[in-house]
Amino acid sequence: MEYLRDINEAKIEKRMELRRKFSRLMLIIPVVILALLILSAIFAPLLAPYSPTEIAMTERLQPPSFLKGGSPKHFLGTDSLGRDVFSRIIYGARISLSFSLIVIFITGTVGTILGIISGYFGGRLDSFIMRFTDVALSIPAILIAIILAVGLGPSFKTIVIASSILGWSGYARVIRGEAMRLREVDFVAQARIIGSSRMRIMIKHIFPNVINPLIIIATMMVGLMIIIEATLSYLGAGIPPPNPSWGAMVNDGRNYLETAWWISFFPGFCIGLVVLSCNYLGDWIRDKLDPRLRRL
Amino acid sequence: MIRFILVRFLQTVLALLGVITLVFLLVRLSGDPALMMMTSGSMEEDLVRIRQQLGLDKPQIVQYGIYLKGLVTGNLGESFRNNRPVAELISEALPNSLRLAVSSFIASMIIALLLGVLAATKRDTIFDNGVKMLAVLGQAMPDFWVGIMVILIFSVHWQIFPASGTDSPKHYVLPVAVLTFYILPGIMRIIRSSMLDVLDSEYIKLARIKGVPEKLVIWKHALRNALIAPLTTAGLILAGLIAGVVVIEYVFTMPGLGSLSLEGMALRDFPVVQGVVLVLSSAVLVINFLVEVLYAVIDPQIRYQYT
Amino acid sequence: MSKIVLEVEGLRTSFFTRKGIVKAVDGVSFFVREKETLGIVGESGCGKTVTGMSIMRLLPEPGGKIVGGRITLNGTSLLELSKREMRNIRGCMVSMILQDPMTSLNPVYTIGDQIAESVRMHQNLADEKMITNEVVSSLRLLQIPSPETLLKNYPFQLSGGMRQRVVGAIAMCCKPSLLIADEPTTALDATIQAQYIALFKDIQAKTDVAIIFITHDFGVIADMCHRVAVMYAGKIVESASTSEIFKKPQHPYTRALINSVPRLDRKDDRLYSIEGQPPSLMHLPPGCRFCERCSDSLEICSKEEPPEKNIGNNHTVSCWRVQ
Repeated sequence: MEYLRDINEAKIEKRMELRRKFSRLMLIIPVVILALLILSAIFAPLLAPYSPTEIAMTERLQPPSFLKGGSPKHFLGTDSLGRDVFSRIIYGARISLSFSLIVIFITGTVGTILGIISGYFGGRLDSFIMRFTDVALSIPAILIAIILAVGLGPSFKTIVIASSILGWSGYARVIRGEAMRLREVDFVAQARIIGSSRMRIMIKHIFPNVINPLIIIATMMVGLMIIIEATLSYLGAGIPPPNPSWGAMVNDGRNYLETAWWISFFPGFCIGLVVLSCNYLGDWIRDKLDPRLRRL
Repeated sequence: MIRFILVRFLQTVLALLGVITLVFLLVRLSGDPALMMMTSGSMEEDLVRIRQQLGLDKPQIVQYGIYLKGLVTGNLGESFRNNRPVAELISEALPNSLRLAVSSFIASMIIALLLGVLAATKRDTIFDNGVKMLAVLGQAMPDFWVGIMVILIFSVHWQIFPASGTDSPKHYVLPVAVLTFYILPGIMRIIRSSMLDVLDSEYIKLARIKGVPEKLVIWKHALRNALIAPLTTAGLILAGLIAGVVVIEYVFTMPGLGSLSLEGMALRDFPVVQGVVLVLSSAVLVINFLVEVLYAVIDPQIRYQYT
Repeated sequence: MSKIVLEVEGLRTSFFTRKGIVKAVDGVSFFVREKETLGIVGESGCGKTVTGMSIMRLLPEPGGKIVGGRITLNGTSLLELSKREMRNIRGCMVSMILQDPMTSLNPVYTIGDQIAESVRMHQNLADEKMITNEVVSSLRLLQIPSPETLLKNYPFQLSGGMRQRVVGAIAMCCKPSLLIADEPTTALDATIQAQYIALFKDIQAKTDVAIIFITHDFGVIADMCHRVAVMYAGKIVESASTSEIFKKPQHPYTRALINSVPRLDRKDDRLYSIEGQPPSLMHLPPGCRFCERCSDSLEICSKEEPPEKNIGNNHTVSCWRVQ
């Protein structure tokens, strides 16, 4: 019979078991990478062998220690001003991480408040806020950053403001959906019947129930924020020299691709690795907390 | 249908006004444009003269009116650097950016449709996992770094393609490839997941019950429904595309709107930056509007809702 | 006796999931004759829908597989057909109606298009006019008022009852010899439900179609079916003619199901319900599958599966209590 294929149930069972084990193992790698990131951000001065900003022209353009002609003093080589790439990457973790956390805190707060209000009140206010959100979602943060950088000059503050001005929209949209759903749920109706004020209902009943989606979006935003910071710094709208931002470091190596590719390669590689880990863990947390939000 | 278009059109005009106002406010918040024009040799009277020239001595609300009037007549001001009209600079830079954006968009749309649909129909196979891996990598690696690595490999090491410029189609190969790779994952993921939703639906089951061949089930019955979800996220995709264009133009040193605005930023050439940002964000809104009209064409429910 | 349209013998269907193998249908046999309606009744998850989908050979991919048995439709063994041959049979010789009328029509195509697609595929009709005629006549068969105007409508413009009739028209437009109806009335209002059942009887009288009626509701069975098969945890535990099963239900599960139908002629304080949950289809118990919930179990019940016994009159039952 063509349709009835020989099926070895024990074999399939075994393969599925292997798969489960493998996916558990796969979780360790991103956890380790992120742990390293956080540790190097906190203990940068202890971990970094050199100062991230001190210029040493005699040491310039040294290849990484594991390459031919590499100096054993510089694990990942040095840049065009003789600064140690490895030390700069370790310090760069501070900027990446603090930027992401600050922006996520600001946008998360604003987005949650707007989302709850929009979803709970509904009606005209809701359609107004949501139209606003749609527009905000479709304007690239880069444009805002560029315009701000002209006036304020490139700085940490500039890119924090630029990313926050429109960044709340992603949160607002999801939280609004949740708040709308919760408005119809019994315990909220109950609270309304016994005469709780709207403010109280939103804080006591709606907010605790949108914390899960909030955590999910926030974790998924970490990777995106790291990329945004790197991109803006790379373009010159973000962290000004000589501070070691990973994005700016990639730009530093732009003119030395033929002779010293490591200046651009390693910081960018770090961004990729960290963002990959963040996204992987973000997906995992989402699946654990609320698989409904898979389509975000 | 006509009412739907009209309503959306009015909303677009309102949003446009919102963006214009936001840009105006950002300008005022971030500093005094007259100060930015100062050079070390400038005098106090220069400052006053420039303020007068730019109309900065008038009340904010009047300035806002002048600014709006300028926009309506297509006057975006003049560049601080070379005193050329900003509108002219933009229209010179636009074709390059358009070529880059449109070709990357078409390429990623075709690849995303093919891979996304096939991955959804071959769910959990090696092919599907491969597509997922591609999407994950594309979303994690910063586009500027990918661009530089591509230059390192194809321009520096093998010397197959040029690393910068726009002189020939060959110059566009690397930028278009990198930009495609950058915007592809988002589109592909949405198509795949909405295709999965649709393939799980009862009407697809019914189509199979009717004996419709699998090819038709997918490309006729499922795809049209599956396209609605990506269209609703067109705004996000477009934002990604524009951000990508700015970055890629910088990486590959191509003249275009992105480079124009970045040079403007570096030189603090305020009118140029403002002009480019306005043009790009209006383009976003107008395209979003067109997408919504398209949306109504695909989904009969929307067409009828507004009649 | 009229001829047998469909015969299923020892059908076994499993789902291969990440968590393990789910034996959704585990050795099921039954048959249906021309002009006859067979009811398959059981709780949700007992394998009745999977049985229907196995006959259509439309199990969810990947994971769903028929692992054993034979399905014979009008003398053809369906499991031996190639995919293409099976597709030509689907929608033509055998058709199916799904549960939810609100979602089973494609939202972006008109009613006319969706019915015509079937006609075009399975009947060699030369011109569009003949196709439209076929479409209209199938809508008439389902007693749809003014079918010509309905053709240009989209599904969302119709009520649930009307949509379910359109789904019926799609199923009947190529005059199938077997129709599988998977809880077609569950999502409908009670009054529309009665109309719909009357409609089915009318269609059967006009076309001689054999019907497999899948439901969880013994009340519907009484109205609609000639014979009944009661399914529990992937097996048929009892089957007989409808009158016989209501008069002399043998299996404790059948009795429980019949008792749980609300009736006007008895004054019960509360509805009867069956305690407990059916066993996991991934880890089946060694004995009778109903044993844990049975109020009447013997020692042997938890150890050995009861064999199927024929107690005369084509009444079969699998229970150790029945001698």
